[in-house]
Amino acid sequence: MEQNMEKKFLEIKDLRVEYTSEGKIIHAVNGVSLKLEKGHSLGLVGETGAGKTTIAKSIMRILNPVASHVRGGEIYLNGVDVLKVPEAEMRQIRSKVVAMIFQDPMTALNPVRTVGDQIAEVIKIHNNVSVAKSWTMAEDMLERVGILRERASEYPHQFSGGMKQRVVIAIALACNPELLLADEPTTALDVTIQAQVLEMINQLKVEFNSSLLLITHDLGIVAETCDEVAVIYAGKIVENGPIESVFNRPSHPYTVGLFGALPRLDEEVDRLSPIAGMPPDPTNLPEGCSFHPRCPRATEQCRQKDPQMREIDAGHFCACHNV
Amino acid sequence: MLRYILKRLLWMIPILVAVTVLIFTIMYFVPGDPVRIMMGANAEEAEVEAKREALGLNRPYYVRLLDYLKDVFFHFDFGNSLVDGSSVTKTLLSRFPRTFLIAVLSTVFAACIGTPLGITAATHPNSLRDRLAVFFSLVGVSIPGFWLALMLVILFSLKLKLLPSQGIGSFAHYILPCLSAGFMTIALQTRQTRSCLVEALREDYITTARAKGVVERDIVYKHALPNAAIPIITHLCGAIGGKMAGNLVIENVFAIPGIGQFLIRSINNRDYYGVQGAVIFFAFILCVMNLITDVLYAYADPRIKAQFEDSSKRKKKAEAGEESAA
Amino acid sequence: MKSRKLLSVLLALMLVLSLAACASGDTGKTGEGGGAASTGGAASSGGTGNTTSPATTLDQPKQEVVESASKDVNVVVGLQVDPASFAPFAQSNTGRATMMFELFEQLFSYSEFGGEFLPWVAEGYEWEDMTLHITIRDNVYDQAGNHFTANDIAFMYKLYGDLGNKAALKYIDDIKVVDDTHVDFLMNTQNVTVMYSTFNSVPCFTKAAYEASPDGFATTPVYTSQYKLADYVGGSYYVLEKDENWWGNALPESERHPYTAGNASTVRYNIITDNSQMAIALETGVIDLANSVSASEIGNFLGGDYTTATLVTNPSYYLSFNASENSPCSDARIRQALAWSIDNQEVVDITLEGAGEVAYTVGGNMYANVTDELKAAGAADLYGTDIEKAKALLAEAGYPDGIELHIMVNSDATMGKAVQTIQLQAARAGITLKIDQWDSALFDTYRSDPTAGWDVMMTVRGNSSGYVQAVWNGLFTLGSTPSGNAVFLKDDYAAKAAADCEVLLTLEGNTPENVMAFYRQYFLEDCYFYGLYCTQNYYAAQPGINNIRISNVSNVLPSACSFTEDYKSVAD
Repeated sequence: MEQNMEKKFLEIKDLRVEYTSEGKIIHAVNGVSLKLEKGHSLGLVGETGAGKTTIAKSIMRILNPVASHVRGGEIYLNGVDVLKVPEAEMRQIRSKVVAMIFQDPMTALNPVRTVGDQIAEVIKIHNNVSVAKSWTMAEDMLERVGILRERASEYPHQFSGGMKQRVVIAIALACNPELLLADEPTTALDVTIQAQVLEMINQLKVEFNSSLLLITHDLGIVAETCDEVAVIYAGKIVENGPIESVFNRPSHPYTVGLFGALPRLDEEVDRLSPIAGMPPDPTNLPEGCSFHPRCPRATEQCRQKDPQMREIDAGHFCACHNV
Repeated sequence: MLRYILKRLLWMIPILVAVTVLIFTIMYFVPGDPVRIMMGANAEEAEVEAKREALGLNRPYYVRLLDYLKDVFFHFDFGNSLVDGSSVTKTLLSRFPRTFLIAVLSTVFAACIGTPLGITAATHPNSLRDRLAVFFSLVGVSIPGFWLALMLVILFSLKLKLLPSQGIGSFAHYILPCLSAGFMTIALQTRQTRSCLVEALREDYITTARAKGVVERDIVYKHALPNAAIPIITHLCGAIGGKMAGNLVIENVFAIPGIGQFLIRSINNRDYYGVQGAVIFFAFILCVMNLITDVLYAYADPRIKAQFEDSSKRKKKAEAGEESAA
Repeated sequence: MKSRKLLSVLLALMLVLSLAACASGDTGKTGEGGGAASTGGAASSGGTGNTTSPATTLDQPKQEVVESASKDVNVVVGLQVDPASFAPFAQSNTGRATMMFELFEQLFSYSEFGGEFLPWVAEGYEWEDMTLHITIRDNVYDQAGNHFTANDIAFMYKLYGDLGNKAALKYIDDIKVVDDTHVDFLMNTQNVTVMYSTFNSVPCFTKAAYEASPDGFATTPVYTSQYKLADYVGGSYYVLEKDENWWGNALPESERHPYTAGNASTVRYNIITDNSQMAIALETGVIDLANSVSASEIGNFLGGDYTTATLVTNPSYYLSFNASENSPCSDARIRQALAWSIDNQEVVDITLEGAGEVAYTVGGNMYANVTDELKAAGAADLYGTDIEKAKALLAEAGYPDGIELHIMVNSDATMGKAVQTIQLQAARAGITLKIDQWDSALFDTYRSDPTAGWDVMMTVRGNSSGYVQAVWNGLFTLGSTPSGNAVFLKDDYAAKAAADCEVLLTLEGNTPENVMAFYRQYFLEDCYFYGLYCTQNYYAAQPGINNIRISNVSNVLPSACSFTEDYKSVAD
């Protein structure tokens, strides 16, 4: 399958990441495998604490070095395993090949430096330009994200939440990265701004021809923006595939539950239908299938054996014993 | 910014007046008679009374207070010491430079030694360096200043004969006093820098900076440290301010004629003018130090600078808004 | 995890317990050492170092003038207290006492404690009934070149009185200037201390110079002495320089006062307040001569190259009672009970580590009239230790189960230690002493107030006249406190005591027998005051100084010390 390997721009193989906290081990990512092709966008959906941000940070290797450990797996970017490259080389990769848009714009920017400065910094690191030129390029980027270039010498606290997020996007895209990791970019913003920001991301994605890994818990955004979707639960991918396939035929009980939990405008319902039970304790995951305590289809096999991913449709995989 | 500074300077006046009234009242009620101390235990009561009258200490409270306020704020005259009759103003001004030098130098030591130690501890958490730095910090705040002073003198003056053991004169005379006075500050600075930096390094914008590919050294010095600056500035400026009040123990051990010595002598002898003069002087110095601290804050954190300029800018913006609306 | 929590709880508990233990101690210590010491006072030592008593191995100072091999040397002296002012009548302290014979000159002065009263600026005196005729030398000039005449003497004494020292001048009715070199003092008494009290504290200076000075000589003194002030940095040092134009150079050697040997051309006093630093300064060659070395540090200088000297100083530390009706100590039996329970030698051993002497009265053993007989009488009586007797006296006074008394002391560290030792001793007899330690200013206020809540206090008193009854006079005179004498009595009995003491001061009444009788009555039977001890001063110098000359107020006289041929000052 050499051909297939070459086409894949991003390939994550069996990634395992742990956090240590107060002596306990948190199993954040437990054998995640993903593929993304150039120019495509993948939506990564899951609850809070499912491990989505961890995956993104692992790709960029910006996990907290003290508390977190990558226990196994490989992440190939353009054929290179970024988990094994030396730090100096990784710094070249960060923001140049793969960049990240962060979740909370209020805290993602350094409060004591001007926004222009923060954008110019990333430009200067990856391009051999003078300080003055990097500043001009930073101003250009600001304009691209719809902010007046005169505001480059202002500080983050002088911007609203939405505009701060645009600055974060400007920083991420300033060096033309091939892969964009967007970690819940609109979660912290209100709905009207959400639409603006998403549109901007889409626009820039096309303009720069970047691939996109969009992390979110919002199925609606995924539907609008992505080509493929992967559903993650308790650090494992439980279902992934093209949008139409997964949305039309959700197979994993968790995915079914997610769709079922969405309130519908055309029905009159007294109560919402959430998924029964609580997400598992990451320090003490259930044996066998992690979802089995909450699963309506659970059988004895589920309690004992962890299901593997099986192709149930063209490109549509699901990890369940009882599809 | 300038307006803010001006406003603060003007505010100093009522503060100093309040301090003057307060210390005057306290000294008024403190038991112990300076005239009796001056004249000795064997002087007769009639003589003591006559002297008290001559010094004007028998006048009612408010008369003395108003007189004193007038002298201090209009003539900048703190009066004459009851101990030796010399001008308190002159004495304070002549003793202050030495105290000032020790205060500044010891804080500079603290900044130069403590900050790098703190940084190295914060950037290598839980390593041997970190534990050593924390241990050193603990030792530093636990060691009493006078003990350390004498130990340093024994080591450097007596055994190694490298530095002078006491007195003033050359720059070398100030090294041991500054080290003893600054030791605790060094330890506190290490601890402060370490904890502030660790906090700052946990912030999201550091992750952003890492994601940009910034080198680790720049992450610490250009991203984290400027954000950790506020508590560090607070600590250092507070340390200078406190030390300006005179470190009596150090001045005693090293025979440095500074303000601390003067104040203690004045208190022991109930020298009203000496104590009042010294306290008002401190208040003034501390006000100035606080102002400098706040100005430094403004330069360290643009949000604070914005706050200071807020009032004047807001007015301008409002006016501009009205104009454009009209 | 659990063990960590347990450990932290345990540590917190220990912390709380130790804080509680500290807090339940005695009432507040107020820190730094005392303020103005008495004349010729000892430096306070607090050391716990040496346990062997160094007293017996040191030289006694030679009182005669020893010829110095080197002249016109520089000397650097370590001084433990800043004089603060060079004015003639400023408040006395140890620092000022050092100036007494180098910067000041009196009309007459003692050459040593209890010695002769020698003319200095004056040439001689003669008594005619109650008039003291003084003749002064006619060639005396001050450092500004003014001629010193009898008019200046009148001015000096008027100033002395005006500045609040009328008590010291109580023997003088008037001063009449006869001519430039003759002045008459019209006295109202002639007794053993009249010369001392009249002349000891008054340095000579001219009216012209004093009025020309902007601050009354506080920092710009102009006296008639051999040394003038060349430099002064408050709190740090002062420098004296020999004045080549000193009037005394014209005097023949035999007529010069022994203190004016003038062997030094400059004397620099470095003010070193910390005991350890004083010793270090001598060891590291910062000073040539130390005016005071504490008992714990003197060991570094014995038996080696350094020259040392020691002197038991005359002020004695004693207990003074509150005999007013506000206190149970108005009952003599209670006072005596406390006296019987105190073991003076033990106090000396513990507090001073042996560097001192037991005092059998107020005033040390070196005073005239403190005879062996007197000491023996004291030792056989109250100054012995008899716990049973103390308990019996308490029971007789109505306190068979013991009594609680308040003892007051100032913030001096050594005195605090002494009082603690006394507290332990008194406890053996059932007397519970509560210690109140105040800072000097407060102490001075309370000591003249019988209602201030104290029953007995520890303090110090001395007098360089050399007569013990002169010291006692200050205790028994009825003007001592607003409420009467030093124990707050002013009834007929107290008046009689004061009168009896005055008799002792007269030329006829000054006999050992009279003194003895007074002692038996008022010190042993009445026990108004109880002597404790005198401290021992130590002095040390570099080997180039082969004789340390000490004045009668227990401070060194650098210009009168002797220097070897190859003496080299640290300043050179």
